[in-house]
Amino acid sequence: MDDKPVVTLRVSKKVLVAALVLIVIVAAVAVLWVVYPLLQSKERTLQPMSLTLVALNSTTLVLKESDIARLEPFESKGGFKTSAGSLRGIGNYTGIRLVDLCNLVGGIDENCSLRVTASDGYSMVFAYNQVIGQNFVTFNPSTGDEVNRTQPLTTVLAYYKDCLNLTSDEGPLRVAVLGSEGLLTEGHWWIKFVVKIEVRPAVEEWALLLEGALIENMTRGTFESGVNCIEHSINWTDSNNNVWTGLPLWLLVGRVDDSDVHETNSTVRAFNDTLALQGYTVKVITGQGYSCEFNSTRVMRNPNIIVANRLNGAPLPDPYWPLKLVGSGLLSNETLSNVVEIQIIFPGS
Amino acid sequence: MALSAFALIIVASTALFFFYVAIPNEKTTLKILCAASLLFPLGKVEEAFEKAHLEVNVEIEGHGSIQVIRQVTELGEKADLLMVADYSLIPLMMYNSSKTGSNQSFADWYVRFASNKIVLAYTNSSRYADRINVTNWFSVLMRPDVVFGFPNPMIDALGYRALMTMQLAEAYYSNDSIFYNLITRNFDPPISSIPSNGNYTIFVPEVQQPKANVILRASSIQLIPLLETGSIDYCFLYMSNAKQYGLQYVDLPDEINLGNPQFEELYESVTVHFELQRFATIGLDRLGKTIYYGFTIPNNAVQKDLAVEFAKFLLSDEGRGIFESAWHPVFLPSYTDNKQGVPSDLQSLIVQEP
Repeated sequence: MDDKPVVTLRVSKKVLVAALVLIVIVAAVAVLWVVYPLLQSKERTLQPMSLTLVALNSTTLVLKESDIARLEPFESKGGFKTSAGSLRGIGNYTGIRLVDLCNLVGGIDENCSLRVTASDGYSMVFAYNQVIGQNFVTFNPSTGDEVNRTQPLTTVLAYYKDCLNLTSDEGPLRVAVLGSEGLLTEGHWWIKFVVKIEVRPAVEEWALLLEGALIENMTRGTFESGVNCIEHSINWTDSNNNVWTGLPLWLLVGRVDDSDVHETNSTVRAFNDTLALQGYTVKVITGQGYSCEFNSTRVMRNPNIIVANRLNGAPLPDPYWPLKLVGSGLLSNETLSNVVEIQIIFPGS
Repeated sequence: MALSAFALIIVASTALFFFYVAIPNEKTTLKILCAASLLFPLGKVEEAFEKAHLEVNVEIEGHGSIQVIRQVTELGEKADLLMVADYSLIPLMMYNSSKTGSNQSFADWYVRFASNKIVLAYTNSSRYADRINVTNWFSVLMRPDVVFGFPNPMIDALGYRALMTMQLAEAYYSNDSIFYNLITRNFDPPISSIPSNGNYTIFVPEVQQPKANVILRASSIQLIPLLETGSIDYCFLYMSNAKQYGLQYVDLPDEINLGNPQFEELYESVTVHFELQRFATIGLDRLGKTIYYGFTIPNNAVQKDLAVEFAKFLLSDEGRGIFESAWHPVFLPSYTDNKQGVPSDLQSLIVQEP
């Protein structure tokens, strides 16, 4: 009877030792199980992918996985917060800085934006300051609370998460906003399935065709230099307090009504009043082929018919772009959008 | 010998592990994707439904309404019930698109089950909280020391609806500077509203960069903490959310709050136009409309019967009671565009739209 507890104790010790050994072995196997693929993945090649880069001048460059693998990688922490408040995708990402990708096609600066498009057609536009990691709202990765960052962020096109290729439900390429603090950013910037990035100008180029005694294909630059000239520029405020800025129609007509193209002072009159009083038709034409006609006497020195190129200080939005006919001197059906051509039709021509 | 024993133990442990993993989950999962503004009341319905259906695990995931639908139609997610803050997205995005390799559309009916309205939420700590009211709220927001917020119109339906409300306010208060002073001058590049024959088109540029007095966030859920901590003074919210989070609010007039169908024609006088086509399947324009929530069960839902059961529970006295207690009343009856298409168990709870 007395010996029984001793025997029991000996057996328990044995089991305990065996169990400890077993735990160590199982732990070692488990560690190898987890670590080995990670070590292996460091040497893994990227999965098949294709990324189209579009330069400011519209030239394109297509990168395959082998091209992307040769670019300098950037690795750091990040994740995102969905609009519904979930914290997702927290991890260590590896990818190529967006700036570096842009540099492959001529670079990007503060006058540009970057459009990122996914294979399903989803797209977002990054302002330049976002391309270089600024102007993101950041959140604490544990609590999801909004916090200010103290370390810089870097915007990348990621291909690895935690040393593994991105999975098919997000990759092979996705945008990630990373930093050493591991802060989260808003989920809509983390575009997945990325297939194209385009450097886009802040202002699209355009030209206005002026046809009369002369023909001039007026570029955006020429038009804007006219608008920047305080003597020529004209503003009109609509009923909703929007400020439209541009050139009066008569000044543009004056560029091609005769051989005098620029009104510099009272002695050189680009707009030919005599011709206008004799009468001709000014036809304003849109990109869609719509038009309005004005008698020259109505246009003559009239500051209330304006060809506007800016709205509240910014280029016109679609569908008004690039120029819109506005002003208090117009009827509502004369306020043409998308103006691309102005013709002078002389009598008998 | 010892090595064999250890090997045996490892094999046995592994087998036990896989046996454990392989034990089937006895609960059936019902996956619901919903608009973020429904998360609060749906969480309560989920609780009650699971109590009554012990074998069911309801998983609710919130997104912006367009994303709710895209998860199924474009991103290959399987969901059993979709609930969105704009019912019109269901026919627009689901009726004419079909699963790859199939002629079947993603959905062919919706149930319009609830409404909401836009309010201006604030707290006692908000600047001028003691004097703001329904007649002067826009003047308060124009003050240089006041910061207000709304969801990004590009990301969240409440965002573009808030823009519509501010434009509609001009006619209601006979003040044509409201939109310019609250919005246009507070963004660079500007968000402009252009009048044309009594209607207005609001142009949202590709990039939204507010100046100091305005804060944009991806959703109302991200704005509420800013309001509570005093980082902003006011924000536009759905009334249900303002009440759910215990916020004070200015009850905006029906003519501008997008909550009263009597003013549908007025609401339709405002369109928001996006310069960026963010989604390949959604056009650039959003027309002002009365706010109506809708749900549907996708044709490729895995747990269709369970989804019907949940929807039936939601439309029952108990479900409606839960929503009502969360300040988000559900219609009785609710409306559908295709009563024949709606599962038969729901048909007694809905009527065909006129």
